[in-house]
Amino acid sequence: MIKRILVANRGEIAVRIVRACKDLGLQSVVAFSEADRNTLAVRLADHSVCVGPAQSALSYLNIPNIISAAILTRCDALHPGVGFLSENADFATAVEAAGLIFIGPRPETIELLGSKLHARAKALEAGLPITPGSDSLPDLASAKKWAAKLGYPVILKASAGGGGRGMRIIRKEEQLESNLALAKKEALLFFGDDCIHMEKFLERPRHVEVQLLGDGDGQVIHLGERDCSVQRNHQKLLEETPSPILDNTLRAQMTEASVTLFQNLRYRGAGTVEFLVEDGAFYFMEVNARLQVEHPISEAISAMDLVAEQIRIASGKGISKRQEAISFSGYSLECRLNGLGAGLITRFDLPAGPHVRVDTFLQEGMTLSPYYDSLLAKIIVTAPTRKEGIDRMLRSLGEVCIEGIPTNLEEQKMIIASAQFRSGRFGTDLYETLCVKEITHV
Amino acid sequence: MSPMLYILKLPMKNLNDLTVEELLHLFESSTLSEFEVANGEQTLRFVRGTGAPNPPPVIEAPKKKADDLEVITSPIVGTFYLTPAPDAPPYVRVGSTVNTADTLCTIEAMKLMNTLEAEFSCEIVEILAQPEKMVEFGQPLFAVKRI
Repeated sequence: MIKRILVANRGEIAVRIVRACKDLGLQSVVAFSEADRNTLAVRLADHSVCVGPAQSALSYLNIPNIISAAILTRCDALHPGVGFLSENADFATAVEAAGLIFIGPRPETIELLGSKLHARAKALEAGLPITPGSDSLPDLASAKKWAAKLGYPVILKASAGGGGRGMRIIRKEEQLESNLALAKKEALLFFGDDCIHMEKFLERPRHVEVQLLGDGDGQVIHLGERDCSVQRNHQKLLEETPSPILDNTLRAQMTEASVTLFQNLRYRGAGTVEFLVEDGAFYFMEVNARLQVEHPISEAISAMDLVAEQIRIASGKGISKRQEAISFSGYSLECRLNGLGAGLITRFDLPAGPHVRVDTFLQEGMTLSPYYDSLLAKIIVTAPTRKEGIDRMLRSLGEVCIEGIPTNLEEQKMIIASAQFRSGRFGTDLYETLCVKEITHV
Repeated sequence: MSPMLYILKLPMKNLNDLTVEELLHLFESSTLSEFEVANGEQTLRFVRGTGAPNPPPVIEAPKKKADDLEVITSPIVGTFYLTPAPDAPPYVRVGSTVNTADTLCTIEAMKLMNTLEAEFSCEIVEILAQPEKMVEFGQPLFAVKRI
């Protein structure tokens, strides 16, 4: 039985988890850094514990302090949120060793999926197509051999990597030598492991992911897909579901294969399988063994509460519904409002009204901290169709007024209002295409 | 017993004609416990010292942190102990003097006893955290005076 949960995160996701706790009648304790003392999650939670200074490495990544805070405030479970320690197998192990329930996958699942090469092998076993690619590249000679076999362009990836870090696109053989050395250096720096592998690079793919829930015993359901193709430097800007480019056959193939993968893993909790889709074919990319920032759009079309399900599964009660009992309806779109600089927010008007959800942790008079990521708020709209959803998002963004710090609001409006976005036919390069156009217009 | 609060909204002209001294006299000769005047730009508030039920925090020597006092805070989250063992004498007491690297307390975290050592020679003026209770990061533990 879970009665009190330590929330080991910050920002809008910490607020989201505290709210889920309240909805479920559970107590919450927020572990926070000195920079976050006056944020919404700390205010809403039943208790809070300062676990370190502003720098994440000393607070939100401080495993001993976070676990001590959980034990000393008598929590029985810990929710890692997204980012920070959420996909750290050592952390999950330490949490369980301390006698606490880790609200997430088993440590060994996190470990396995954390290695892209292992994850690709597992995906192949489950019958998921993967982008053609190499094993670990020991030297330049093997890199050259693989690149010739795959055909340029290719992409070098840190096997332990993620979040767009440590990736390098190679278009010609001459670029290979210097980029391989750099990629190895970066991989060692960011991920503590210089293992690099190579994959065929897709020029204009779509990024589509499938949301799954597993009970840890082989029961797995999916909550449909999310299309996250609108990105800037591999950071997602807009997410929508259903994807405008999947037909029912492709959707069924992708969701069924994902369910099989999670069944094979006896996956516990919420997780996402990410795919690249190009020309009607899909390729497994990686598994995110945690909750995702963009989870609300899946909640919107499936009437499920993903955080509540995570807690339920962690308590050993399994998933609340079987696949057949889930009915998908309508369309949902999420827009991430980001700060383009830190500072005091002097005005913070966000949208409301029918079928509009806003997830944020900020209020007027608060400061966007320079120490953390720049997400200000997530605006999520729901509508019967994609067209109505886009119109509702534009209406919602028209209600936004943020002063004191620069934001990406106008950029987001421009993308959503563009003919390309409305058409549904674009690749992950939409941002660059539109922004370059914008600059040439000026 | 919360004192009554009167806010007098005086016409700006009248208020500006009065000096702070005159206002103070006005307040002293009144029976008001609190008195606030504002002219749109500035607010002036007088509060009368109340009697026994709510004594204002005056001369409480240790809590009044003088400039020469420094506060040692907890570097980790854990349980605060002043003694090395339940029945042992404490590392420090109020009035103790310690040298650099002397142990001040232990903080138990994840079954490890972490000793906190003095970074400079000092006199313990006050112990600010409760023994055997949780301390969080940055929580004040000791008020000390450098020697």
